[in-house]
Amino acid sequence: MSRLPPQPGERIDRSRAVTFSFDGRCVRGLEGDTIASALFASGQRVFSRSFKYHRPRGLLCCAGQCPNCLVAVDGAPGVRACTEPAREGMRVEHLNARPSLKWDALRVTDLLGGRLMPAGFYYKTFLRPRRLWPLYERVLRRAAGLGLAPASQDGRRRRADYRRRHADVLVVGGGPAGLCAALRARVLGADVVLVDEGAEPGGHLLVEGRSEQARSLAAEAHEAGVEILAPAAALGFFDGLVAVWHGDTLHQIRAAQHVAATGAIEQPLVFAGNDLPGVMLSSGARRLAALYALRPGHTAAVATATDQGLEAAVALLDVGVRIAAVADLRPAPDGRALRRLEAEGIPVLRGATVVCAEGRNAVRSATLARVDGDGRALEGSEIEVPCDLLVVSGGLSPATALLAQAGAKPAYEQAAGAFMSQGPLPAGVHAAGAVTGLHDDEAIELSGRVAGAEAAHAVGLGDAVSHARLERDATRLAELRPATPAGAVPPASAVSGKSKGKCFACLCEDVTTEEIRQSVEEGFDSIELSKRYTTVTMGPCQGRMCQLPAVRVMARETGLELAEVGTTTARPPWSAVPLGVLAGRPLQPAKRSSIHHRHRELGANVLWAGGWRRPYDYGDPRAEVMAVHEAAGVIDVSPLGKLLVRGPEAGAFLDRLYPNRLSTLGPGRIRYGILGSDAGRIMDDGTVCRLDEDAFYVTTTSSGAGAVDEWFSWWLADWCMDVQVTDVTEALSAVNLAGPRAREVLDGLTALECSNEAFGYLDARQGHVAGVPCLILRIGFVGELGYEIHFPSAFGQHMWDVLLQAGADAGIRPFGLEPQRLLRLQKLHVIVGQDTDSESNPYEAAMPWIVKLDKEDDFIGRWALEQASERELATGLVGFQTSDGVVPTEGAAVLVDGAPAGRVTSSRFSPKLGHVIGIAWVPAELARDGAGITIADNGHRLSATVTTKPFYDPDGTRLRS
Amino acid sequence: MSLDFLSPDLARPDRGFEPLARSPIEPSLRRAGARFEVRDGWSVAIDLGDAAAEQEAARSSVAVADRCALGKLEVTGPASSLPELAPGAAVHREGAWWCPVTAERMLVLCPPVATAELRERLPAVDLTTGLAAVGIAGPRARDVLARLSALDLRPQSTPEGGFRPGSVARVPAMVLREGGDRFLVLFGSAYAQYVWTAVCDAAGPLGGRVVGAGQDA
Amino acid sequence: MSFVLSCPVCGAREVTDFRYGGEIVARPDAGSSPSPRELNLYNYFRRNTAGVQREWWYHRSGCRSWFVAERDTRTNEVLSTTLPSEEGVR
Repeated sequence: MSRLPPQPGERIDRSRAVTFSFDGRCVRGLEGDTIASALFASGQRVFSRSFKYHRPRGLLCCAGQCPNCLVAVDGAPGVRACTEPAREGMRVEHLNARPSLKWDALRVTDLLGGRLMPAGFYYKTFLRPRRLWPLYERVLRRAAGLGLAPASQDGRRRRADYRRRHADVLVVGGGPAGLCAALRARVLGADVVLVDEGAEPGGHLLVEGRSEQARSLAAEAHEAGVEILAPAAALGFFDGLVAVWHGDTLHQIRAAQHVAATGAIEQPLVFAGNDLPGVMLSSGARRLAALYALRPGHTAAVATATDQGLEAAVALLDVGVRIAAVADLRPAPDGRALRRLEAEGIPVLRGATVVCAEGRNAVRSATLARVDGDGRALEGSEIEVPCDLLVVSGGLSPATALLAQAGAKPAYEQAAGAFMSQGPLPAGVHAAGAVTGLHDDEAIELSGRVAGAEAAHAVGLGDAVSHARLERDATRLAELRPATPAGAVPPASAVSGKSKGKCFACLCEDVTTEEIRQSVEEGFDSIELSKRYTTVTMGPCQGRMCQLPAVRVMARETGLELAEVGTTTARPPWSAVPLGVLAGRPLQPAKRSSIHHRHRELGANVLWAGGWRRPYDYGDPRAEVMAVHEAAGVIDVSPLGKLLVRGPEAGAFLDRLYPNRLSTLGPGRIRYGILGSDAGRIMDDGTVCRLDEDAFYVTTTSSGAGAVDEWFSWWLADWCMDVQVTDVTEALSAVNLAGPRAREVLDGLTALECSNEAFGYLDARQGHVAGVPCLILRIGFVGELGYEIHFPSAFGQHMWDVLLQAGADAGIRPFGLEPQRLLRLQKLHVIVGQDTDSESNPYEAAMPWIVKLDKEDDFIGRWALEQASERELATGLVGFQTSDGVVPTEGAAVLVDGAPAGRVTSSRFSPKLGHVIGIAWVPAELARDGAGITIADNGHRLSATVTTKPFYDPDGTRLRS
Repeated sequence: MSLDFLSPDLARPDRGFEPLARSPIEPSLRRAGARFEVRDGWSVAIDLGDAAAEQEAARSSVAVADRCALGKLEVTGPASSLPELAPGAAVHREGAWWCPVTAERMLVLCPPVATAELRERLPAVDLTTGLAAVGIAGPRARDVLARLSALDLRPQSTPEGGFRPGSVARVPAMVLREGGDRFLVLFGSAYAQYVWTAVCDAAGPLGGRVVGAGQDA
Repeated sequence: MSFVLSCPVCGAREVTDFRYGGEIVARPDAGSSPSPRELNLYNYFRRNTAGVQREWWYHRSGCRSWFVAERDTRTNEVLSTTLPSEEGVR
């Protein structure tokens, strides 16, 4: 199909072709075309198949407002063909039709649909027999929906970036009001961003053949320094943050002031066959002609409620479309467009509208009739008009969704026949243009300038001159505000005896007026309920095309006024957006020790542990355990939390935080500590080392480091003691060198005296190891002689290499978390969070010795622990061993008289001991050496014997040797 | 006892061992083909094989550089004992950046060789290895940061010397505008590999490049 | 939820920069001996105000200061943020 002669302001560049494929067919378009305009030019009229009934659908709005032209581009579904620019070589495919868009087998649902798919059919049908549900589900999933997401990651090529933008003023909507607002605010010195969902800003000017005016306004704004994002959809208003989808970027715009210039959406009319290809909104038809030089049809019928339809009829007449007849809902329309049409001899029916469109895959005729207030055709007034284009215009509905999300209250305004924002707008939010109900050119531009000036003034810009001008503009704007509504209010639906076929209130979800009537009959008689039941307004158009029609049908069926029916809550996203855009870049924060790359090189199995990537083992956990027992092992314990607590009151501060005494610790000595809450519950554990009179070095669990730092600083903020807490977790790497030969390995690397006499158990020493300044703690989580070496993390690789090299002769092996867990289990060392939970206190956890209730001063948890110490214990944490070699699952139940009375928290087979060991919570009366317990695990019953002493080296002689 | 075990500059050759301080970003740089030299006890990436392209990126787009070797001292004490600076506004003085975090806490950034002397004078904890540092400089530097952080780094909000603690790439960080379009981002060194990946991922499509210390004027 | 909170030290930041520390609860006086009921009220009971409440926040991603905010729990409007004073908060 050829194009019209050059149109003023057209978007296409006739000298440059763009070629792409549609369902395998080659399509030639022009630079500046959208996918839809290029396809339309090539003769395509059916663009999609509908969601439920698989009815053919064609271009309706041509502005990204409706679901009718959704296609897949290069495998990504859900692209609106009418706004997506045609690009060379792109692969465009239809959605939701098999085997082809033209012959869709599932069209059968349209014919049977009435019975098979009543309102809320998914609650009523396909329920029995129940065992067939998986089959039904598979079939339904294939039948419904709007395309398939790529099944594999490889199929997804989208790169999605977030971009944060701070601004003084954000203007949403690039029509004349938005452009004027942005320009005014910018001229007054504001940092302004303007977003528009169209391919270029201009709003209704583009439709009306006034593209040049739109472009010069946009150019002026751009040159003044307004950042213009287009095509960019504002997705929602989140506490002042506006998310804007723009190509491959999700802009997160945080502006001090917001101007909503979101315009108004032309509404469709509701009648039988209103979804046929060939039924087009007046703005859609004009857009095709004005921007893409396409003739939307040969012979048109027009049905309108406002001047908009009449103006469209004139515009179409001017591009050679034959206008067969016009139905105007108003009893007495007037104006230039009307006079022109009548001068051309075109019949214009007053008080009339379209009651029916017919045709199988496209409009072939429209029936126009005069109607009463409820939309019923007056007897004998019907005329059938053969046509291939039916232009409809149901008036404008202000696009208040974003305003409503920002806190404005849209309510039905009788005179305008639409929902409008009522009352004052939320602080920092302004509105301009058609969204406020204006339709006069001068008023629209003026409202933009007023909003722009108000926004700029609100951020402290402007001067006496600008304030005076704002006052003048505001006064003039008030004079221009229309006193009379622009048009007639369409009925919920228009019907006559001739009407047959489905009458859609919602195109996205294929919801007919009949289904809404049914839902009311079944008791879903509020719009919010009906919405959830029929899914009306829940489709890709987000209510743009169906909100008002659905409310009108609801009002008719319930007998309520529209104001009483109200509207559904406006929720983001206001435009359909790919999930990948919301997800952003697929990078997840991970902490890694300075030795991590060495672990990788050694073939470590790496896992997540409290935000860190850590070696689980190096391939042979059993050998790693045995190396620690028999020679030496080294484990990277850099993730241990490490805090410096300094100041004259440091000791007193720790005494207040820990249930035991730390102020009495001598310099160079170490004490174990558990941290509790004021409820007496165990939160974390670790060691405390006194460096000198005023400085302590505190270690925490790896996963608890952040929480302990925050806990310390929280109490410090309140107590205001002369103490400084510094988190040095990441400043220091740490390795635990453990095993009977650990001393000889260390001895070769340092000038420090390492003998047991000079450097005993629970001593801390400072000195150089392999040339690196270190703090060395002699502690033994794993139960063998061990040194925890802490040093600046920049030397991780150096220290690791040196230790493995120096220990080679001694048979040193690196060991991972899994061997460490077994080794500590042999010593009955609890892991806070694994063996204890948020309810455990030190008495139950078998650590009564750590609570010093005789401390003079207050400490965290004192009262709760005092009360706990006076109560009899209900449960106890104990070790257990089994003899039959079965390792119970961690979490398995401990049974007493057949009923659960405890649980296993840790369990492993110990190669060193030759049997299964574990830790469990048991009733207090069983928390004694030698008690027998029964463990129920996945249907098995295991017998186990309780022990309260470490399984390995119970007296700690190896640890202290 | 002292806090010597926090100071990388106190490492020294001993018993045949020659400890070399390495940035937590070194493994990533090595994979990218960086050429290293020892400077002030640190292994430093000099360039990534194409010094001319690196210079061009810094001039026309954005250059990303590992600056972990910078000395970083945390000075704490009553507000009266610290240089009087308003939180958020750092100053460059005596070859070091003095960055007030709170009224009682300040971060001092200095060349590695100056650390020992400053540590003597100040009640400081050496956090040189606790914080990783990445330089992001060039006309697109702010665009890179906008992809990673919600901080308002517009010149009117964050002028030269602006110091902004806040999240970058979803981890706690501090951003210093050293001047013009030169930013320094500081964050926990255990996140170095992750943040470096995120910064490079953001800078790449904007024409950015990783540059060696040779380009980092 | 993506409102802006003003750290008394750093200034305005996205709420995701912060850790919420819960409503401020009066701790029994040091040296007193609260009854089990008083202790349970302190440890476990919260007013859960629908309206303005005083609460703890921590600037986790920034200056790492704890501070006190007055926030309307119905609207997330933050009326004030202040550093704890010498007299203590609890």
